[in-house]
Amino acid sequence: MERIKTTRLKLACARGVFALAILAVAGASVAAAQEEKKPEAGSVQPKQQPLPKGGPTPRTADGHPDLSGVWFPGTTGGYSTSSSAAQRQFDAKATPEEKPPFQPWAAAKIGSMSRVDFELGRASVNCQPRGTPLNFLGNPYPIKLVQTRDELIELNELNTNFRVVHTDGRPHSKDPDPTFNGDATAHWDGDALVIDVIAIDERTWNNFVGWFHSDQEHVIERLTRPSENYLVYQVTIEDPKVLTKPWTSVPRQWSLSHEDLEEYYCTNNVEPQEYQSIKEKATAPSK
Amino acid sequence: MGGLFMAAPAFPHHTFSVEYDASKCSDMSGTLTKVDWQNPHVYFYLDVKDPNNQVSSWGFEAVSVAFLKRSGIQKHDFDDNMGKMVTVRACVGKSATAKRAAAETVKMPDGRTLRVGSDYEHGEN
Repeated sequence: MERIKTTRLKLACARGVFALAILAVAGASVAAAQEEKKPEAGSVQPKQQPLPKGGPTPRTADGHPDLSGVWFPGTTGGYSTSSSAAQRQFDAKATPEEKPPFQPWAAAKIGSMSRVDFELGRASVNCQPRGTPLNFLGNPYPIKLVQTRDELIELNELNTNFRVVHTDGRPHSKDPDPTFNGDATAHWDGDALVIDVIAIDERTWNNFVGWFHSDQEHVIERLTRPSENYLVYQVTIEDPKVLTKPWTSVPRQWSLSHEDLEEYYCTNNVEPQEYQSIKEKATAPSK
Repeated sequence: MGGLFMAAPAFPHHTFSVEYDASKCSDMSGTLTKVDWQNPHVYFYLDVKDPNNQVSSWGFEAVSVAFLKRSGIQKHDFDDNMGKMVTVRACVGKSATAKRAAAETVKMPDGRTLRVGSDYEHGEN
C-alpha cells in the first residue's frame, strides 16, 4: 500500500514537473515569439487588419459608456497599410453617404472653384485647425478622448490642440464669438453622447472640396462606443443659409490604439506659396 | 533585404495630383545633404548628378513627422546617412519651384527601403 502510495505520489510529482516543464517551454515559446515580434528600430509592423470588436463597451461609474481612449480613424487602430483603405471611416459602397444638399448659390460658388482653389482654401494646407466637424470627418491623425464625470476632453494630435466639452447639458454661452471648434455643449441620450455646436469660425470647411458654411451653421455630433475597440461618430449639419436641408453623415468608424499621441506643430509650411505658384503658372499667358 | 514601412494617410493633408505629377515618377540617386525634420512635411535634399555630370540639389517631400515615426522612421535614419549615396523614388512637382519632388521611398546604403510617402504613382494619396 505504502509502495503504491509512494508510486502514485512520484507519478503525481512527475506529472506536475512535466506540466511545469510544458508550461515553461510554452512560456519560453511565447516569450520568444513576443521577442521575435518586438519590432527593431525602423521595422514597425504595419497595422493592416481591422480590429475585432474586443469585448463589451467600457462604462464609467455612473453607467455611461466610457469614450476614453486613443482613437484612430478607420478600423485598424493605427496607420500604415499598403493602401489607405484601412483608414477609411466607412465603406462607401456598403453605406454611401449623401452629398451635401447645397442651395443653388452655394453650389455655384463651389463649382467655380478650381482644384488649386480647393487646396488654397483648405485648413490643412494653411496649417489651420480643421475645426468642428471636419476634425472627425476628415482627419488621419489620432484623437485622445479623456472622459471625466462631466467633461469630454479631446486631445488632437493634429496641430497639438484640444477641445473640452461639458457633458452636463448646460446651455450654450450667450452669443458666443466664433471659434474653430465652436461653442459646444453635450448631454447623454442613452448610450450616445450628443454634442451640440454653434458659432463655428467660417474659415472651416466641412470637406476638402469647398464645403463652406455660414455663421448660422448648427452641428450635432453623436459619439457612441459599441464595443471596446470601436468609437462611432455621426454628425448632422444644419445651415439654413448654405444647405437646402440638414445633412447627416453615415456612421464613421474610429478604432482603439494604446499609443501615445505625437507632437505636431506646423513650423515649416511652404504649401500656400507652392499652390499659388501653380495657380499663377496655370493662368499665365502662354508664350 | 529591406522592409517597406508604411506611411499612408486616408485624409490627405493636401491633394497629391494638384501639386505633383504621378506620371513623372522615377528613381533618382544622389548624395544625401540635408534633412528638414518638421511639419507638415519632412523635406530632405540630395545632390543629384545629371547625365552631363552636372550636380544640382533636389528637394524631396516626405509625409509628416508623426506619420514617419509611426512607420518606424526617425530623424537619425537620415542623419546617420548624411553624405552617403541614396536612391529616392519620387514624382516631380508642378509648381514654379524647380527640382522638387514628392518622395515615395528612399533606399538607404544599408539596403533598407524606407517608405516616406504614399504609393502616389499607383493612385494613393
